[in-house]
Amino acid sequence: MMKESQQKRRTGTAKLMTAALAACMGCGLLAGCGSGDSEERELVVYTAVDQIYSEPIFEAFEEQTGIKVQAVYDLESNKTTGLTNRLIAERENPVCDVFWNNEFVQTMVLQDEGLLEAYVSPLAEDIPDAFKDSDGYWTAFGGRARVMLVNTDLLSPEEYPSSIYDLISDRYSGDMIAIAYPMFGTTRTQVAAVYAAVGEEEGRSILQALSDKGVQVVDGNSVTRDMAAAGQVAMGYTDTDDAKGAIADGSPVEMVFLDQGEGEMGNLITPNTVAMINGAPHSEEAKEFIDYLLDPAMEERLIQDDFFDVSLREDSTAGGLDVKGMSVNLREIYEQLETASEDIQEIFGDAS
Amino acid sequence: MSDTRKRILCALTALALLFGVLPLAGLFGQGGDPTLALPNARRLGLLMNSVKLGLITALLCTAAGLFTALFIHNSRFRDRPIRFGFLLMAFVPSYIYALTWMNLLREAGSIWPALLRIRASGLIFCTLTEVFAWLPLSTAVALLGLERENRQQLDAARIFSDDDTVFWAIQLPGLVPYLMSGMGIIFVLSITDFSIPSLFQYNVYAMEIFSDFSITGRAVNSFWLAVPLLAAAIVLVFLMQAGVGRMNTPAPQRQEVVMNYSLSLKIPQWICVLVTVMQMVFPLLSLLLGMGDFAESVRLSVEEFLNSCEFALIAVAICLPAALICAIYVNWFARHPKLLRLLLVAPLAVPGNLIGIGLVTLINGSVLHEIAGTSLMPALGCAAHFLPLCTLFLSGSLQQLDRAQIRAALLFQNRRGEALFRVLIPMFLPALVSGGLLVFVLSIAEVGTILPLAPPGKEPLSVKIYNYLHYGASDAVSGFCLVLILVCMGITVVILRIGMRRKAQGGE
Amino acid sequence: MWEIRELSKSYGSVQAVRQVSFRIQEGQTVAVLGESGCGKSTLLGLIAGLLKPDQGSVVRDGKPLPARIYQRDIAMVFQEAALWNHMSVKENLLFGCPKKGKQERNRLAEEIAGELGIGELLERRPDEISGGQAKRAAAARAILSQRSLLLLDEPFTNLDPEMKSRTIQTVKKHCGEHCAILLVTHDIAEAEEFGARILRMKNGELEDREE
Repeated sequence: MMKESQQKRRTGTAKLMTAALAACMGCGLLAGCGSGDSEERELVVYTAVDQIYSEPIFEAFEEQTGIKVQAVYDLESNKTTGLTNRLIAERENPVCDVFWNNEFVQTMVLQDEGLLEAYVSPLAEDIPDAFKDSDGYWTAFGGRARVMLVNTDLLSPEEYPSSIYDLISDRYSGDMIAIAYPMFGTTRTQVAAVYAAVGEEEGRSILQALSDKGVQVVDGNSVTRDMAAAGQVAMGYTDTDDAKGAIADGSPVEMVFLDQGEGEMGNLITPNTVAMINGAPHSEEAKEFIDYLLDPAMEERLIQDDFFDVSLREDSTAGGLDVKGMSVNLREIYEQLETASEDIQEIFGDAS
Repeated sequence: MSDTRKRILCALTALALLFGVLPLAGLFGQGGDPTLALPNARRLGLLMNSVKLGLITALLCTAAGLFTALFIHNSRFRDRPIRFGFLLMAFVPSYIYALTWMNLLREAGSIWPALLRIRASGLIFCTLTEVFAWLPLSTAVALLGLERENRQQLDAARIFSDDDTVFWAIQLPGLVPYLMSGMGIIFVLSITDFSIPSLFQYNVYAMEIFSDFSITGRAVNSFWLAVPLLAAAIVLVFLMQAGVGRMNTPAPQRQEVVMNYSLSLKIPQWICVLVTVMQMVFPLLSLLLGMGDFAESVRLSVEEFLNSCEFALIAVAICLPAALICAIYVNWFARHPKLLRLLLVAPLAVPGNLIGIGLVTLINGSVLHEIAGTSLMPALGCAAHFLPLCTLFLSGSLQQLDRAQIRAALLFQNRRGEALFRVLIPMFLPALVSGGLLVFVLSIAEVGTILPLAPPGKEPLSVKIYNYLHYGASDAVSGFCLVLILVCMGITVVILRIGMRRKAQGGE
Repeated sequence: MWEIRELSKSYGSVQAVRQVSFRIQEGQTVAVLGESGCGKSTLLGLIAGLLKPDQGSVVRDGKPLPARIYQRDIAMVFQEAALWNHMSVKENLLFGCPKKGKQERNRLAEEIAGELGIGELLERRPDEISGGQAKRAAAARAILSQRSLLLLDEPFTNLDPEMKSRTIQTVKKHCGEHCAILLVTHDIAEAEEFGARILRMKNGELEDREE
């Protein structure tokens, strides 16, 4: 009898496992097919902005307007080509309404691909023309700056660099400086910006000098930040948002902006850009969201929340870091990208 | 099996295999530059770096995995679920795993500042980290082989020789097919990964593909660039297959053979077990030390974790039947099974993001575009990406089935399907469950494939982890990883316990 | 009446079975005798429809039928016991049994198992019994399936003489009248105990061809 009950239990378990497996598969398939229809107003935003910053803004927007925001986030190593490629791949039947980018290059790529739709927000009037598309395909707002994060344990204030030319001078050895792989992200943009500011030839010589020096080239801005914070290098080139994180953690680091003097080229500011997608399924909601983002009051709030570090608006009272930006406009930088990229590949792409 | 049915099976297999490579078809609409498939001198150098790293990692990892598995298999944990404890860190994405070591080094640096001056870069550090990261995989493969040893053959050998000789002459040759397949998978994982090499500033070919993708944004070029990696994977797996003898047929008798090796075999085991323990304890310590408020981490990750589970479950539902069909065809009906297996390995070297982008392009431009915003998309991507691996796994397990038992079932069945449902599937259930678990866990940790496919508003946990990592919220990332480890371990333990109970109920 | 017509099978250049033909009636036992490797087991595989012949057919009552049809009339005891480990011995025994009704099925299983001396083992799993017990369970499974052609592929290895005799008697008792039995063995004593008509096989061919 005992054996028989054991036997029953045993075949029972086998059946149970088969049934569970089948049920899992069935549920999975059903769940996969049956998602995504609802009556409420909806908006799809693709954003390269860190989730930790963008999510609360979506929530606030939802609360204010009742429009449900469905977001797609990107991750650093993919920024922002991942989303751009997805948008290009979805060109036939757009899913996305608004592209909120944490930089401007990929937004222009999308514009060149014909994937954007013009929308001039009434709230963007006081943003300088250099930061807006003349036909209204995109608008730049707020932003961060490139920054040199200096380890205060390893360098005293008088040893801080003040110009990009200091980096290639004999003051520092290559292993004291970390930069992110210049093949992509804001580091690549910065190279293009330097090209636009000082001319191709000089830009190239600066790049070559950095490579010859043997600066440490690492995976991303967060790694340069971590290395500077940990004292593995004396300074790491990163973005202000990364740098502020390290400062908030209590790491022995300080932010230094380069080329701030009279007649110097200035420091690169990388603004956020926002654009509506051509054929957006929810175009009215998209416009509402763009207006919401471009509101000067929003910019002020975002600077106070440490989301933006600088304002693009002239005579802004929003606060933020006091950085002298570069005088070149965004389109000029964009147009230098290809030349800069080729040089980067040639100079930094070598196998070591 | 009748010819018609065989033809249907063949067509289904072709369809399933096509499903694995179809997403790439989406890319070719974009044109692209096929000459990229021929590497120039610089890229050839990078390729050599990749192959060097892949080979050393695969060899070291397999050796370490073998000795660890030998220790576990001869310990008193051999029959308990805890013997799978070494899988603990297998659920952490390898990049995060590598970072935990970096963080630990940094933490230790605050006590011994000299540590901070160590430049953790280059081939050696990269290899070590990769060996650590994939040690659970190689151990699992070796343990699987050991647990399927033919005990009668071992006993026969032990009568004539000491256990060391038995190891070299009988056990090791029997394990070779398992070790070789593990080595092949680790090699492919290593040459396609760029995250760990970039962390240790070691330039590899996969990085080149990725940087080209980031600059040009042209996925099709990434495919052409990936061709040399595909070729390297195929060549290696071909060489391995050539050297592989016949797999052991397991003897089902439950006999406890505990081997008495000499010190020359015991010392490597102890060292490797120590490495395995280190491989778990230190990163776990790093995660625990770095963790903030665990309850907050759970709260922040619940929704994303459920999304991940949903994608992964559907991926299993799609991948498992497709892989089973392919495996049955490859094993029992294909004219050139070795060639087919070789073809199956190649897609493993295709970067996941290509499959993702290809699938979006394909679906979005077709009548099926309505499914674009659903969970089916990431699931399809993962299923396509992991189909080759799952097929190889199931095909290996099918080889272990006793064909006489299958023949008996076919002969004695009174109704059509009885042999399939009452004998074949239950006999094969453990392999199916393990295959499903493999796809599930890989899908949960997958980033590249899912990123272009995740429906708006449904972020998977793996993407959130990387996103938060960029922000520098390492406490949250540590918390998320711990959640991932706990839940995945929990699922594994539950499955193992069910398996154990089945075994125990059959016994004493 | 079962008729084997011109069955042939080769593996590459090796001709395993060559134009084998013979007839066998219900209630009759035929034993194919031959050395190891002469093609006996391949022949059984072909008759059972488990292997595809290069040539030839199996004819039942004058009608050549596809294997999937006549397979339902065939039972087989394999060289290995080929019991399924995820089922109990009893479940293995009853797998092919056409009888309906749980009580009746259980009674039958207990009866046959008792006759074969494995009545106590019905609730165990196949990997918990000895090789000889597994062989007897395999024979019991074949008997319980009540098919009209029983193929025995060297079924009595691992059995001591007493058990061998007991098993043969049990098979004869339950299958001897309604069933055609085809035994493949190298042991002439087994064939004699069955009272079988003997056919000798060598290099894939029957030495005394039947018309």
